[in-house]
Amino acid sequence: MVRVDILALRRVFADGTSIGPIDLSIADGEFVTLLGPSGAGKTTTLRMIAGFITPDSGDLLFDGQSVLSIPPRERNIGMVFQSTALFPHMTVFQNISFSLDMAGWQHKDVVARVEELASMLRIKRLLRRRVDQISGGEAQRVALARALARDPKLLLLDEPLSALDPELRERLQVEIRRIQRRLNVTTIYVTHSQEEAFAISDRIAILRDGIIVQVGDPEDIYEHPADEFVARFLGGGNVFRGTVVGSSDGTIRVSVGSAVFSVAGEAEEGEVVAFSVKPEDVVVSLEKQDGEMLQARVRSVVPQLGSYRVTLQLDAQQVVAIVRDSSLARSLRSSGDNPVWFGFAPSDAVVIPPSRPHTSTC
Amino acid sequence: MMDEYPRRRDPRKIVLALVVVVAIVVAAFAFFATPKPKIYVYTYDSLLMWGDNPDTIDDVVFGPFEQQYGVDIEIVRLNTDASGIVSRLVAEAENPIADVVIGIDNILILQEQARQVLTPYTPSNLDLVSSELVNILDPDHYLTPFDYGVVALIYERNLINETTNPELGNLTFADLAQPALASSLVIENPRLSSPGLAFFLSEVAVYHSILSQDWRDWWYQVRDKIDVQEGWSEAWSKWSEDPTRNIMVSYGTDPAYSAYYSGTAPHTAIALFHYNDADYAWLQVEGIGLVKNGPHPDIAKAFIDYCLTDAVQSHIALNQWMFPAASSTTLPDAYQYAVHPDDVAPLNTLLDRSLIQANLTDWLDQYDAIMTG
Amino acid sequence: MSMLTEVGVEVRRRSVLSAVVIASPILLLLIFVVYPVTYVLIAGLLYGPGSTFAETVLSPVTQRIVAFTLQQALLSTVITVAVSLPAAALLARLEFSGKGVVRAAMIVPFVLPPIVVVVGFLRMFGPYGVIDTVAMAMSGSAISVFDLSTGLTGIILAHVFYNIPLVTLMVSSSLETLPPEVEEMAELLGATTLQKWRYVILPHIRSALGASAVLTFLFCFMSFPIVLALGQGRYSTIEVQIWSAFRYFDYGQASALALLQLGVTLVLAVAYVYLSGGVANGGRSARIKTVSFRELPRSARLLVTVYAILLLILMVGPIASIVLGAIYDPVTREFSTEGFANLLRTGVGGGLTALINSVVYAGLATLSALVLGLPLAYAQLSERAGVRGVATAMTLLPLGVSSITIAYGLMRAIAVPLRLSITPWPLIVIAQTIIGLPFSARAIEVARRNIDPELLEQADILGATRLQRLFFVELPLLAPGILVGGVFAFAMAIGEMSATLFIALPQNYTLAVAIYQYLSVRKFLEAGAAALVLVVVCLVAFLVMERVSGESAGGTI
Repeated sequence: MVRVDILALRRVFADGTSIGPIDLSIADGEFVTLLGPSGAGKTTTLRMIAGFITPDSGDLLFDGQSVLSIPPRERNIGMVFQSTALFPHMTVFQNISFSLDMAGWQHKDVVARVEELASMLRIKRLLRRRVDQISGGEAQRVALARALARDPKLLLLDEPLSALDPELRERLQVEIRRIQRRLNVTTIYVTHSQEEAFAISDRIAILRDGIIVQVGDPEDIYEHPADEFVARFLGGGNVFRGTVVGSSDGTIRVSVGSAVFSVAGEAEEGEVVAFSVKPEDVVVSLEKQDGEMLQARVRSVVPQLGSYRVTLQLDAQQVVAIVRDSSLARSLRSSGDNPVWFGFAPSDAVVIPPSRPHTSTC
Repeated sequence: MMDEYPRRRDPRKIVLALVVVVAIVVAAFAFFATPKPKIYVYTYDSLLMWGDNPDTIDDVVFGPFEQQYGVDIEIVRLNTDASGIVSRLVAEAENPIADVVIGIDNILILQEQARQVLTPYTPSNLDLVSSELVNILDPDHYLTPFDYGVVALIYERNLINETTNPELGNLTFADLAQPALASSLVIENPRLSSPGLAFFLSEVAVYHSILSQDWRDWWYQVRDKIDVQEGWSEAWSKWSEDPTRNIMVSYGTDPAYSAYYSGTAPHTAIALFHYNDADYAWLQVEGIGLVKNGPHPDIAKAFIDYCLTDAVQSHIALNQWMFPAASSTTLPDAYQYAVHPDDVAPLNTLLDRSLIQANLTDWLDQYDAIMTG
Repeated sequence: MSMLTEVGVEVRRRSVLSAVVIASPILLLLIFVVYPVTYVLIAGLLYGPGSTFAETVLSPVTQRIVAFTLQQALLSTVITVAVSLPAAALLARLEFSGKGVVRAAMIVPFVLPPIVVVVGFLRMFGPYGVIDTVAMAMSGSAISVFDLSTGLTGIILAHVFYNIPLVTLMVSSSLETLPPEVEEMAELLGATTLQKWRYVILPHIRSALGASAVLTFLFCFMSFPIVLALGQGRYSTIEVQIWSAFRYFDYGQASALALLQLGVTLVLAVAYVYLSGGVANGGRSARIKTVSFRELPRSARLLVTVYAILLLILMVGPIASIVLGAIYDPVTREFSTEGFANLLRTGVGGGLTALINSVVYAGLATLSALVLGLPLAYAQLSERAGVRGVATAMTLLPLGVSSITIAYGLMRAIAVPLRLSITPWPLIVIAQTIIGLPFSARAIEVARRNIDPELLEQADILGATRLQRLFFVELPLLAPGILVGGVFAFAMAIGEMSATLFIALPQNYTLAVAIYQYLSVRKFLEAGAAALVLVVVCLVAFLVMERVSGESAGGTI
């Protein structure tokens, strides 16, 4: 519906915190997620796009036209908040029809449109209820229907699912994605959950301290985190930091605490590097096996879909591994204080660039 | 099907409807509440309100004048006493609305402010009033006498009388300062009430001119025993309800009022102050004045003349319970029980007008200091 | 390019419009409060006539009056707070049926016209009043043996009666916002009841307590009819002295005293703003910790019972005496409905005109207080500190300026030039609007503050214009606050006496003024009936408010 270009958008607040400069282009019909820890500036960025916060500098283009001087109500944006912000004094129908009534639609057109949206979001039976008579999940569907009612060019979703239970959240993620595809509406989604971001987005922009540190599709980001922060934040991955103690033939040896790892890569001796290893690439066993193996103690074994997530403690460092063998998992769980072995192939480890230093805390 | 979902009510229509309704109400109220052009006469709240038909008294008394001159007279009974009226006239001095004021008395007219809002006027028929009365009220003719009476102590004969307290027959302030009598006395605050002020000046007159003593002594003696009420009504209420408070500062016509409405000889008696073989009391004279720069001075002057005629004066006794200023007016039978001002020696003449004028504020301040000390 | 300019023009037009809307109540307050009061003060101080400022301030009479004013206000405040604290605790914590009614009834004394309070007080605690009659019968005395209604005792008791609702409701609604978990935690950590109060509850209610105490002090400091009627001329507050000075044409003294008074109230107003800023507006906690009467230990039950009875005598006694006074003629010693019949009569002394006037004036005053209160409340929440400050000051101004001075100022500076003094009803409406405005603005401000800003942003993003947002979203959400503010403004307006008494002509008498008139001519039945109508009207208004909006009054004051 619309192509959005965010050009060096920047805002400094009275308390000294700042957002930006932010540069991001979102293609027509694309679903982009702003991902980052709380306080990274995701919501502020979204609110600058909506027009609730005026940037100090930079520009915001919709289809190449600057919209900075256009008030929020004329930007034709749909927005959903985490709190849903449904109007408490109106019924579900009145909530959804709000923007249509404000735009002066004929009543019969309003009814047709609201019913169409209600069918799409499966909330038709709720239309006559008051908003305090519907559940949290239903409220989000209503909020979404309301945001979509007048066919917005751009949909902004600010952590819409954070307050819901996991199962419901997953169902709604799928639904949001389905509807977004069907309507082909350009969408910017804000979340702090990497899982959600990976599940739903065409592209992800990772924010830290008001700056976008990496943009890419989910696989890209997962495979090649731009820096140590991204790697750590995306979780799942084990991130190690240590000093290079030797290097040969494209392999470096990195000392992390008392342990030394072999990692594929190039670096000078004495240099501090970070590298990440995916949990599925970490091998765990009760006995020492071939290859480079280190000893650690088992901290926890948590069953999850089709596998076990095993957390090991090595000095101050935690190492996460995925184990598929249930008998091994059982043994690991009962290993108590006895050390177990773990290791990974040097080629599975990825050396990642250091993060820019922390400038401010929010 | 479509009507299943109610249309959104537009609050703007509700607000608009509300605005229209309010506008209509205000307009209607304004229409009914806005007076037509009239001759306004300011007076205090109870003027001529003590008779049998207070609802119609204005028509009876002033109707003939309205017909004769073809004007509407509006008696504006301000929600206050005479001081309040002067205060109001002062406030309106730049743009006066009233033409005539009734009710300023012989003490209040001594105030500079009261004279500033009035224009001296001598009615052509002033000879209806005794010149002594004119002089007690105001020799400068800012005011013309309307009615008059004595301010004196009244007592409830059933509770206290000349048998139980022989001194009531020839009372002095010294007698009144005795603990028993002082504890029975109710007076009005001289700052807030005209009988209260009259009583206060009576005391000053006696001590200053007859006894040649410091007037403050008496107040020091009684201040913890007497009961000072805000005004006449409050004092009356105290006097009639509390059997221990059976002497009160009031008017010499009270026994007549009581006789008229009870149909029997009154239980209320009057005590006058007795010095040097004479009965003394303070004379209160209420006057009519011409408002300075009032919008209709000619009609106003005619109105003042009219107030001295029998058409008005004959209604004063039974509706105002004061003696009519015109000396030829016939008095009703009940007035045989009243103390006639002509039968007492006025205390007013003992205090020179200029003395009161110069010292009243100071005296009242000293009174405050004594009573609140 | 052209589109950009258009947008710029529109933005400018919009900000001009909002500036006009926000400025209008401030402008009206400037015209109808600041200008008249300043006019009177300056004219009085510069041109007199009467005492100069120095004479007034240096006079021992003034000094004694100022000292007494402060002293009685302080005493009244201390006693009010001491008596109200247990009531607030009970109201917040004790379960009993009819709590809503009690809460609504509680506010009635606060909005009663002072003159009604005086009547109720005299009839309950005065000589030959209810208590005295019982005491006389018991002691076999033929004369009065008991009088709590006059002098300093009477003044302070009446002030306590007046302000208990204020402190009780503000403190109890603050208590209701204390999460029960916090208290439970304190208990788990081993705090005794006393320690719990000292370290948990008191700090929580400190702001509400402080703010209500300051307001109480302010009201007692400004007290006029109560001191005039019960003080019997021996006791005088600054306000009474101002009134007296106006009567005696000592405009210099009146102005000097009004200025002194303004200085003190200014300090109090600042203290109030400072303290009430800390009052939690969180609304009632979901699960308030309450106990039922039966769960209390025997000693506590006894204590609560005795306290409740004493409080009932103090609070309900005067009102009950008014009810009795409405149907029982003490002069003829007979029951009669004459008082009510009189309320339906026109003509001299009839109550119908007063009844109609009261309703029309108070209704109009309420409407204007709401219409003005709305932008004033918004201005108080403005992003600009200057606008906020001016708006807050303007809202509080009517509380701090003597109504006598305002009334005289309106008369002098507005009525006379416009020749309104003979048709003064617009002035009465204005005066009543002014005294209701602090309450309506405050209630709306609280309601506005409680609106989730995301709702407004949703309205914006969904394409609502400023006006559409106001009408379709904000006003419906503000409705409970508007109702609360309206009820308060109405109650204050219908009970207003000082200014109305000063301005009104007989055709403009309101019930409050009529009561004063009836009393002065000893028409007790008529006075009682009129007072009863006022009490019932206020009670019904507050019950409706409580029912419809679910708000308790305490959070609003």
